[in-house]
Amino acid sequence: MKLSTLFIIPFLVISMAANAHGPTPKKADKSIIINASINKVWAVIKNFDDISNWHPDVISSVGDGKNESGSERRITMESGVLEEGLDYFSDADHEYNYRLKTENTDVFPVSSYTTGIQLIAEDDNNTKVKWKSRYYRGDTGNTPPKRLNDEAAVKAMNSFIENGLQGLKETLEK
Amino acid sequence: MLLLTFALLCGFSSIVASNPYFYINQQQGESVSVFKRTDLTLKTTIPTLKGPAGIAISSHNPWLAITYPELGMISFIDNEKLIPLEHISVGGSPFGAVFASKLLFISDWSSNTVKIIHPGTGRMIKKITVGKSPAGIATNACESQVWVLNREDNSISVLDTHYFKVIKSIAVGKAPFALAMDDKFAYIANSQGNTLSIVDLADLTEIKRISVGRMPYGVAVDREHHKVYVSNQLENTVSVLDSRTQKIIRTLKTGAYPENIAVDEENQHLFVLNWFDGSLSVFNSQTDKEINRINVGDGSRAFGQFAGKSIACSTE
Repeated sequence: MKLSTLFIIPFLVISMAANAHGPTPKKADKSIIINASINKVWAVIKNFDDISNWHPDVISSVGDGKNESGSERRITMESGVLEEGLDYFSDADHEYNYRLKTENTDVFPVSSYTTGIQLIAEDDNNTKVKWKSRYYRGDTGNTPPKRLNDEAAVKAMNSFIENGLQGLKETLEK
Repeated sequence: MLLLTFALLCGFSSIVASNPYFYINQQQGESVSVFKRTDLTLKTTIPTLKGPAGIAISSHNPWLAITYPELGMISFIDNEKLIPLEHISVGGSPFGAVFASKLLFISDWSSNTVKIIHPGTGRMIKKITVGKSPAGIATNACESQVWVLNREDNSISVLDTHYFKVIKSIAVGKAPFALAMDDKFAYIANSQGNTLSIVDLADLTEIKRISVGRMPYGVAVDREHHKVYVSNQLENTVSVLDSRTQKIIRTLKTGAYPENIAVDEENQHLFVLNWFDGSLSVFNSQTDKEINRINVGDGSRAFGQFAGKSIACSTE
């Protein structure tokens, strides 16, 4: 299996960061079991605007309080503010999905993320919280600075999700 | 290189017999997986460079083209011998690709251009400025036009493949990303508009915009059963449109984050690549029932027409 030939045509190109979908998307898929009924967990997590009540990295969060497709929230973290939009909300399935509205890689070194949170009843007193995300590095150009490369994005996203799941568990199991 | 040159010398008039495979890129790795279209088994994997994303299958020669947005490279692959032929540096972020009029057209979303590559020599013969962040790209049956979707400009650029010019720009919905064509219309997934634009191929105007699911990300056409399939990435569904009535007739459940999608009319298969699950849902395209789910690995991607089809060109 060797290449029959390989030739390179040098070609000058000015690299620029574009908000696009060329680089390899990253995936996060994490979960935690919380010792509380699904309804209790849902009551804490369901309000899209109340993430600051249970997420240790979110100082404050505000929104329209409607919990419906098109709702938006502004979350304030130590590094600044992010705007997120709700895509899908289902009381019946204990599930909602949201995405980043406006990119701000100074606040969070990740671009174009979409996130889904879903609850599954393990039994009457235990609930599994599933947190899924698909995202790209902060700088989707071909020569990202270290601060905005794949590694930085993976680290920031994993840390945000793990802290959130842990914070939710502590809030409910107090 | 020699192989390509030889193929060129032999001329383009002969239509290659229907390609027996479909292809899935391992974007997290360095290979393309080759599956048999009949029994859906893995035939082999072809080594590539790192991070293959886009794919195009030639209707006239035994060639595949693969794009690497993060490397500014493309590869040509022999799709009969299943070996890589050559890697070519084209610069920028080549993403979508389509063979048309004996040439390869690629969308480069970082330079807002379509680059035209001559497969025989690997030379770039033309760069055409289009709109912002061009992504999905396709050609009509007679290969007289190439359509490219400008994701950040909410528009289509229609290119003439003979004069290498943009002949029309057509406004569509928000963030158009992927498209497919039948004999009369182009169907465009507006990823952030949650809509499908239907554009008339004859007079180049949008005639309808239909609501589909959230984040429509892939489009495939089944001419035989008069259907258009749209994958809704954030809903884990596929919307099915009857192309005669232009109405959604049903919604299919898929795996997580369905993205690239293709129809194999010959074997009556609809393929849906579930990106998050690293699986491929296979539906019977007559009944729209899922008949198989194949493991294709994490980080799989096949942006483009990954199951080849030749459309007969009828000139009136």
